Amino acid sequence: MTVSVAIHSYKGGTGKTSISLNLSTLIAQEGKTACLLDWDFSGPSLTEIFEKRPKFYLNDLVEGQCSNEDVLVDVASEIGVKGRLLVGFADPDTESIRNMAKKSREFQMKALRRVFALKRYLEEEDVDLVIFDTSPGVSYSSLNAIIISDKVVILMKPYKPDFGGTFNMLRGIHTELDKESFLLINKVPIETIMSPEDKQDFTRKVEDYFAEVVQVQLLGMIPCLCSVSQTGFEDKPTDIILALKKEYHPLVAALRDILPKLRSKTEW
Amino acid sequence: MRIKTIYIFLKDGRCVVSKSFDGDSETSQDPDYFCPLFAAIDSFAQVMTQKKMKRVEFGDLQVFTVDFEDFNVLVTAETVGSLKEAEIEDILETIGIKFLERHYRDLHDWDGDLNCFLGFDNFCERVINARQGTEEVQPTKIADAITLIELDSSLKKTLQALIEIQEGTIQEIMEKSEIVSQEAQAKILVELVKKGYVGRRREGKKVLYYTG
Repeated sequence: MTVSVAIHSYKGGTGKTSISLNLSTLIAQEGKTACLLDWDFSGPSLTEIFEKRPKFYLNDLVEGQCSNEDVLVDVASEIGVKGRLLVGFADPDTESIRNMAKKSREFQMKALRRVFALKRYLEEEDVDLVIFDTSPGVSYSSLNAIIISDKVVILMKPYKPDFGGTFNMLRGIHTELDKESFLLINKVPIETIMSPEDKQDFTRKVEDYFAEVVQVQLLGMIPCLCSVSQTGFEDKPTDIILALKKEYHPLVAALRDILPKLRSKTEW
Repeated sequence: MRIKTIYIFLKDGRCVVSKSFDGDSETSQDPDYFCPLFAAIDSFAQVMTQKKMKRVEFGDLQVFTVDFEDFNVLVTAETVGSLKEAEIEDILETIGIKFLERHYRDLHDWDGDLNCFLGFDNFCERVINARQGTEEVQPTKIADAITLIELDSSLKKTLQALIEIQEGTIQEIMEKSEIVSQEAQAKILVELVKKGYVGRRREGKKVLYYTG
């Protein structure tokens, strides 16, 4: 059974791409099939990480200019995982980014249908997990991804404007769409969650803050770790996927911890 | 209720117009048997009760009739559906009056040639479909992510299901929307058609709903 998850956030820089990459890699490492879709058309990332310039981008798919299979590239052998990791890339070319920003509501209506068709195709291909790495805030592309996904993970940093914005977004968008939503707090100062008491106290504060938004469940907290940050000059860009080489890294461990919660209703 | 068939027959039982709205032709009654039989029942009822017959019930099938001077308009209806008894009576009146206007002269000198009534079944179909909610309608509004967020919560799942499958019958939409009652699903679709987000068209005997 295919489960689709949209990784979303109110603000940028919350770690959506990093979490998406590592989650999909963890699934592929188990010998299963994951599909990672760069759904951030205003700031694509995956072409740089996988050093790919595919013939067709997800932009072409939502434009109706290529088929579902044209747009997916299996990178499993390149990164050395035993399952499959299918990646759909967004076009980083500035003209393509501008072009996507100009699209009308009529286009977005057709795009939503094409994303549904992509989801059906991935179900037929027995993909276990589909991850939409969305753009931050409220954009048409992220809304489309949220609508077709079974679950939504909302990432946020423990930062006042992010709390307020995430709360409003959860109430105004995710609740209205009646989605099973999970809150994942990233880059939490380590001293805030160092001891079990501190962690419990912080957890209670977060849960109280979001108590009004009944649909959301706190998925977990990931400590702020300098080692997750990159220099941009790694030997291989895929080295930033910590799940590949640093399986005991706290980020990877935290993601392993949250997987059972995401799997709670559906077995991947 | 939902109208399955309509018949217009003369007092002697000869059927002049009939139209079935039932996808399953096995359950439609043959007008050449049904109309004389019903004409006989109608005159028997009038003799017995001194009143005109308006409605008869046979299990789940209901029969409604309106008596005009030279002919009867009769419909059979099943209990599933959104039409109310008064609406069915209104449909019978509308069709009967129009038939009278168009064919008053034909009825008085009728030589048995059914050709003079040709096309009246289409009028019946238009009237019934309009009331029964199956006339063809094109969507006038965009159904996208913003629409889904802003739409009344009772309509969201159905619209999302329809966006996903693009086009489908009530049963096909129900499989995706997870709405279990066909009647509830039909009402939601009627509401979405009224609001302009959903279109409706016929393909053979199937009624298909779609977004723009």
